[in-house]
Amino acid sequence: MLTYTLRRLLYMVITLWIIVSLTFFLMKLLPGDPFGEAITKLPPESMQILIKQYGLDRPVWEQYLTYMGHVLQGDLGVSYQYPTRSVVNVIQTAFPASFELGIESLIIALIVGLFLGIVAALKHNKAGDYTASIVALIGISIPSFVIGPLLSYYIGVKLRLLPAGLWLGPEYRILPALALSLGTIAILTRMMRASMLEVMNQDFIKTAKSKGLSRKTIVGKHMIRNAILPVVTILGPIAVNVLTGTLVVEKIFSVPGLGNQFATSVLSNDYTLITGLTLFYAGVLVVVMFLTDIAYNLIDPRIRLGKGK
Amino acid sequence: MESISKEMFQPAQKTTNAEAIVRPSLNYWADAWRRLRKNKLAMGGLIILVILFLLAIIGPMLTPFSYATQHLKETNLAPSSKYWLGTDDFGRDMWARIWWGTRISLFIGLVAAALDLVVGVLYGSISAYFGGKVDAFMQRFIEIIYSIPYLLIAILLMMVLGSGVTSIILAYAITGWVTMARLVRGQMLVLKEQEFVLAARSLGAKSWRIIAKHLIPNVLGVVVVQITFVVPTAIFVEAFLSFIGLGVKPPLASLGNLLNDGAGVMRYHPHRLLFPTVIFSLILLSFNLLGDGLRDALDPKMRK
Repeated sequence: MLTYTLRRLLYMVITLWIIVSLTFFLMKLLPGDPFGEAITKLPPESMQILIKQYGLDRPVWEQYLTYMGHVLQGDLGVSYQYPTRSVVNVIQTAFPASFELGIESLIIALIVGLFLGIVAALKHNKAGDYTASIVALIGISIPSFVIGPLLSYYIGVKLRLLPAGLWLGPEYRILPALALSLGTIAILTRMMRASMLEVMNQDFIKTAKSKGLSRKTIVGKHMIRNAILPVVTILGPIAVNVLTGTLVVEKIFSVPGLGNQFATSVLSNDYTLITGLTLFYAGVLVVVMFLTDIAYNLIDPRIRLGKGK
Repeated sequence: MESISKEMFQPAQKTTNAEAIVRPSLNYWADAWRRLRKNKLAMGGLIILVILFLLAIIGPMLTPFSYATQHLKETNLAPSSKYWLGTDDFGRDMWARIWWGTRISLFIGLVAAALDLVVGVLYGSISAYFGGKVDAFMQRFIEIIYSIPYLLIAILLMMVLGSGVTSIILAYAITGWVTMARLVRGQMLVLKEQEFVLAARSLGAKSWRIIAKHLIPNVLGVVVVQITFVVPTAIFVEAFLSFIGLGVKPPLASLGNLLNDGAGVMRYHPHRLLFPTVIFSLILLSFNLLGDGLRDALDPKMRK
């Protein structure tokens, strides 16, 4: 277990290093200019000063080493767009909204998705199963960037039930979280349904039934507990799903989060901000995947990872 | 004891045609097709896909308007007998644009799937067949690629390569093959220990021949199922990139940028969001239905 954890930790570091390097060099290949329109209006001397100030006159490998050194110290540089703000500062101000949105959508998805999956399996091939499967299919085939505008328009603008955008009070959270959670609900429903169906055919369920246990106990203690295990493994991909989802959902609902920030920095060639945010996102995802793996290993004693076949 | 004379023996009459093959023998694919045909949802998906493919090919020819021609006096019209699905904010015919968009989206999906297929299957087979250090090294590489979030890399690549169909396909293909490679490797690890591989090897078959002729045909079932999930993912990636402004650029249409444009003007011209949404969702839905059906039909474990 310890060797496995250490090995995974090493991979995690390598992965992050590759992502930092990849983003850094890709950014160097980018067309366009980080100073935007202003550069044409500046006298050449001032431009020289600016370029020197940001270290853009030195050779690429030197810039790379400096950048890596700074990253290791937790310094992701200064945004080109907002020269007074560091990338870390941008992340600190924008991340809480994204994080909250992500967690809320995850909670909604877990409650609804697991519930639908359990109902679908218990009512296998009956109306309940079909309803749950249809919800899951809709969730898979209609992405959040289509559901988002629809929710915002019909519930926010036409019916005026909830605010159509912005991020002010608790009622502003509902629509974005809902739009973001639909895809996750679909994945969870399908996964939970398949997993429940598999558990239901096992011998220990027959034993439990023949012992005369109540249906509540069988479903609650024997089926769900066992069926929920494989679901833990997909928490990693789900985190990816939620995170990329925030990129578009935040844009649709004007949530002042990191996703929105990312989209604007892409359009304005803000090198350091893009690199920093990609690194930050990748870091979050890699850590989540790592934790999922370890958690799965801890929860299920039957699985002994890293011990060969 | 009575002697046995030659006349006592007579040739038997051939009464039945016992050796004849009454029914055609079912191979793996024929068997799978038979089972798939019984699955109504999967067949529904297949039929919708065929219709969408046909419309993507002939759809733009059915109307006199091209997808790029602007009619600046007739912008944002609702569907009518002249413009079947209305026009957009430059007066371009939505019918033509939607089917062009479908064509481009399907093209991106299919080419990405083909790249995924070639790279993933080859990588997976080599890794599994040669095993040992080769496998260990190739698997470490996969683990690293796998944990790189592909949409983020796709965004970075799109910025460097510039937006366009080729960049989208490349951006997807660079990280997309990993799942396929893992899947193929898992199957092959079991297959390569089986007797027919040993037989082939003892007959002197070379590694490449064993991989190409004996191993790959045996994993095709899994691969086909995976492909039906790769195509919609690639189409989704295109739509996602177009939505954040990095995808296919107008006047060229793709379902992604039609969705993006439509979402912006939804309040005033709902038809511009509605039609692309319906087509886009139908494509994703049918591929998923077909994929589920194929998995049930091709996976021997699911047989009852």
